[in-house]
Amino acid sequence: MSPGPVDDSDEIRVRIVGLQAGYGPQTVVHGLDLHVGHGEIVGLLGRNGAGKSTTLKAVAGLLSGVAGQVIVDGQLISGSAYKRTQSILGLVPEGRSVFPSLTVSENLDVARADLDEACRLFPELTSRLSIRSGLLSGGEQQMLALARAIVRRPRLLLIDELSFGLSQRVSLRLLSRLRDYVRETGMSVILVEQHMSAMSKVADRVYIMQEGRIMLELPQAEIMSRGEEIRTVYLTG
Amino acid sequence: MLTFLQYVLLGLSGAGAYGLSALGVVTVYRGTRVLNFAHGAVGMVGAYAFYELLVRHYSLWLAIPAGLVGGGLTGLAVYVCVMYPLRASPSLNRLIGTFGVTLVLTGSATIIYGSNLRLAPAFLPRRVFHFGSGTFVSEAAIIIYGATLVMAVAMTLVFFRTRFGRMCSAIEDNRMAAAVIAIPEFRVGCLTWALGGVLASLAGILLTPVIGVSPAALTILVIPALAAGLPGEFRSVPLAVLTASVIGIGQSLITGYGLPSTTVQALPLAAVVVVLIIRGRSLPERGVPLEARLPALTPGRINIPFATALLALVAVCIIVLPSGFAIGLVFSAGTCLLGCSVIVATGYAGQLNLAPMAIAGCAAVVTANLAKPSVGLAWWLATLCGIAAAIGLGTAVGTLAARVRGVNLAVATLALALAVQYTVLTSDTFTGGYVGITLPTPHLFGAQLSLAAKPRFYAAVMIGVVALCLVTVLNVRRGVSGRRYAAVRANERGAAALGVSVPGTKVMALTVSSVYAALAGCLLLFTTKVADFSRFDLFVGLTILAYAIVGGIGFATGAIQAGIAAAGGVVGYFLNDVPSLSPYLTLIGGVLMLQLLLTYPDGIAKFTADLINEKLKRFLPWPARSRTGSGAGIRAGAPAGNHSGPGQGEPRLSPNRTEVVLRLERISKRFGASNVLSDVDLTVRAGEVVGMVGANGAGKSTLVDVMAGFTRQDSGRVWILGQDRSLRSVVKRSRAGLGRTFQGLELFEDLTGRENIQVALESRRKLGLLLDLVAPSRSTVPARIVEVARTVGIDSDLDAKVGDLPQGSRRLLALLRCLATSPRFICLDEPAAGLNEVERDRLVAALEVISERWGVAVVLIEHSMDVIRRACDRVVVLDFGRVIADGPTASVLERPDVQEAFLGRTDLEPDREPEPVDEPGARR
Repeated sequence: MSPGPVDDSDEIRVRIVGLQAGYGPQTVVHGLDLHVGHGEIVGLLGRNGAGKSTTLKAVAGLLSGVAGQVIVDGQLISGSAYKRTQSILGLVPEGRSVFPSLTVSENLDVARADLDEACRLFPELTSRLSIRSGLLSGGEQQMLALARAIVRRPRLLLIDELSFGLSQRVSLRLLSRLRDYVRETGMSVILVEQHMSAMSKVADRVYIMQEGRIMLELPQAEIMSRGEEIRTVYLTG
Repeated sequence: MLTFLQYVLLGLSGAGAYGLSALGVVTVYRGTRVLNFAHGAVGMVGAYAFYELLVRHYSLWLAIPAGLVGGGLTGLAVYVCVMYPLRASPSLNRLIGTFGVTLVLTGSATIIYGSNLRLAPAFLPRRVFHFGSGTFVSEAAIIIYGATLVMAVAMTLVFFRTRFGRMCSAIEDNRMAAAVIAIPEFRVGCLTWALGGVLASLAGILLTPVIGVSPAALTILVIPALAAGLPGEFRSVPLAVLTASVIGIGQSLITGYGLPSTTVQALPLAAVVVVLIIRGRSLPERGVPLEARLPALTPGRINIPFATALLALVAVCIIVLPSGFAIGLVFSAGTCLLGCSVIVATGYAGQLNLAPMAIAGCAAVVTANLAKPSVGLAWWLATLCGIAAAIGLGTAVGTLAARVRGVNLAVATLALALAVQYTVLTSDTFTGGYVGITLPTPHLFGAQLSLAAKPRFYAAVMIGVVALCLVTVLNVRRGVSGRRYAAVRANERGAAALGVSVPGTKVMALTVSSVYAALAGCLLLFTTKVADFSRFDLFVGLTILAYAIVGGIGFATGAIQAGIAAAGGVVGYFLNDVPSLSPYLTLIGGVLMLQLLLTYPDGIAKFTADLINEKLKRFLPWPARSRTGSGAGIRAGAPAGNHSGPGQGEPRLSPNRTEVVLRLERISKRFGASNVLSDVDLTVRAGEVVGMVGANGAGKSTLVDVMAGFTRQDSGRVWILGQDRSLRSVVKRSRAGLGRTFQGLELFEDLTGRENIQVALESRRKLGLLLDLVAPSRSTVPARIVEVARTVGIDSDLDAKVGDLPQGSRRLLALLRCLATSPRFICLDEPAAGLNEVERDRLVAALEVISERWGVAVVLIEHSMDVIRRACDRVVVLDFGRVIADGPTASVLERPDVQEAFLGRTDLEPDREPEPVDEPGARR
């Protein structure tokens, strides 16, 4: 195992053991093991179809027929997405996940997310509270989706391709706020991204996936230094 | 003579009851996106509970709450037992699920109470208020209408002011995102269905003194309620109550002014249909969500051993079994023909037409009236006229479908079917009144075609017709039209961008489907000596539709199964020996239907087809054929050859680089208060690759929408190949040589990649559509497209279903599909978003082939500066809808203001990140 900031087992908060998941008869993720520490952001990297999003969906309880265990703070997580996300898990799904017919504050309220804390996290939202979220720019929508998930204070937050459809400046702004907040609160995060450079800036540790399996585990420092190797061996087809 | 005002006042109680019922329909729709056809039946349960207590002399104050609770609990039970388990099924299945619930509830009520109408005590105050010159209004009407207004205000407040209302909106907007912030979908569903049940009961209870208590009368209350919900798309409470008021008062006025009672029922429904047509759009707007899950489709292969065995079995049964079986078979065969109609229109083309039975009935009415002795037309000539009439009605439904889509179309066709039923099928003028219409006995091949005299011959003829029709149904699926139907079903915007006429395709599908319905109508007509039009009842038609869905609406065997299960059909023949069963048949049918819907969401046919394929594979000496039957991998075949263009066949090697293919002249567009585009000028020449960059919301996607005709500019002109095409439709522009891809791809998800390309290749074929019935044609992917598929590395993915492909391959496939229309000019919206580095390299290589060798002009919207730098000759920068820079790539990208404004990359390593757009497009 590669050295990482959370090798110490006391620090490990989330363990995923033997996760197997897919769609109908097709298995996409094969016996995946990973762990996340307190206040740690762990990245999942891999090419299209490697099983990153499927892993997140399986952990969040959105897929049926999932095998394996998800353990958070020693507690086995099971049941529907609704049950899992009530207090323990949070998920920012791929694509725009705001409710376009509701205003910004209604989006937060319906999720029982604290308005003040969301505005403290992203002061940009303060002036937008009474605007219908469908009228926000893509960056603002993603900001709202992220704030809504973070402020609910899940113990494990799953984020799927936050930067898809955003300019780099906006996505870095979102990710850096996420990193600060995680440092503050000790939340654990699994982050899925297509691209290495964004990942190298926020993730403490990265798992590289290929065809539904974890091929490599790297600490932050090695993400860019071994970038070319990773790119040619794992990320390109 | 009563005054106009008086008729309005007399209509108040009906208006109120319809309004209450409509409120319930809206509540259920907002909470669970289910159009509840069982709404009337749920209310019936509450009304019976109320009635039971009232006739046992319990207090009104006990009976009313008990009735409301009864309805509420019924609604809750329906949600928990049926609708929640069906939540991920296609919306058609959910609609039919509620129809199954209707059968179960009315079946049970009929067993308990019989179908007779019972009079209910008039429990509302009978006082009447007089005012003015003899005008009066009853206290009961005031109470009913007042209750409706109070409930309407209450429900509006609930939806807009409470957390519960916001949860409903959240679930409706995005079910998955709602689930992951712990919005309790199940609890919200329970509450809305219980509330819907209470409202339905209230409507039923208040109406009992007026319409009495009977399963049929209370169940049918759902029709005006659905019609009332339509103009507000089942979401708006005020519009639903307003429409309900118009329907109720309108009926009162029509009665008052002495029009026939059938018109009273039909006119308001027809009015709703007209409103829908006027308000409809021929293409859905950007961002309108697509149906998440469509019913599975047959590949359209004819299983010859199975078909032969089935025909032989049927022949043996006709000969060996008593003639009663042959009679049953005739009705099964008629239903099977109706099933064929449903499969083409609803299964293949995705148009929820609930009026096939009305079409069959109209064909029968026309045939009967022309064949009757007093007119004396030959039976076959009369039948042809009947079919022609049905084609007319089918085309009308197709025109309706061109403007109205999804569940709205289901309700509109329901209203249409009911209007036809009231004005034609039950009208004395057309059906001969009490005497009826006496029909001649047709002769075929010198023999009498009479069910009474020669049932076996009649059955054999019917089976022959059905077999031929089933073959044509399968042929359609394999041909040009089948692919086009499936494309329109999957994605109308995507189809239009390829030059497929979406309205034309829908009209075609419904016209073809109406022929099957007409055949059914005419062949069933001649089964009796005196014409019997009651068999064309709306509910019988809905039951057939339901059986076809349970059987598998995308499969020919679905029609066969609908035929087998039909009332009076072969199953009925075998059940005849158990006469004690007959009162329970509706209930049993409903329960069975629900059970099968829950177990086989794609129908039994899909399940059996999969099973047979799995089992047979082991025994067959040869490998099973692929889904499309076109062999594995790419076949570099001949060019499609039916249209010309650059890059067709041999690529054009030296494009005329000076030819202007696109010119935009001072294009402006506003959305509400914001200027999305202001005076945009742009010229693109053949073989040129123009990059278009700009921040999120700069107007790039809107500009593409304007070029391709999806959005009409407020001012300015679009010239394509030297001609002003500013006002042309999407389809016309596509045929003029403009191709585009979408940021959201808009692929046909349930077709294979090859079929996606074929739809594009065949978009200009016209004659093939009728030929398909006999000999389906298949186009081969031309060599130049194969070459690009290899360049971008997706040639091995073409036979997989698009929905199963990873994001990168899907994006590249969208490019291929766009090229298959042989465009002179293409707009690519974010082609590199979500691609990895290797895929991007391949994309850049492909763009080089397309522009350099074929001379196709490309406008490339892209956030990845890496792709822009490598692929583009020229770059245009948009900022808040204005062009702020236009020039050679390197010099534009080096400009500090451009870098500062859009690239946001001052302190980062070389950018290989995607920065896809976000435009007003994401907005609703």
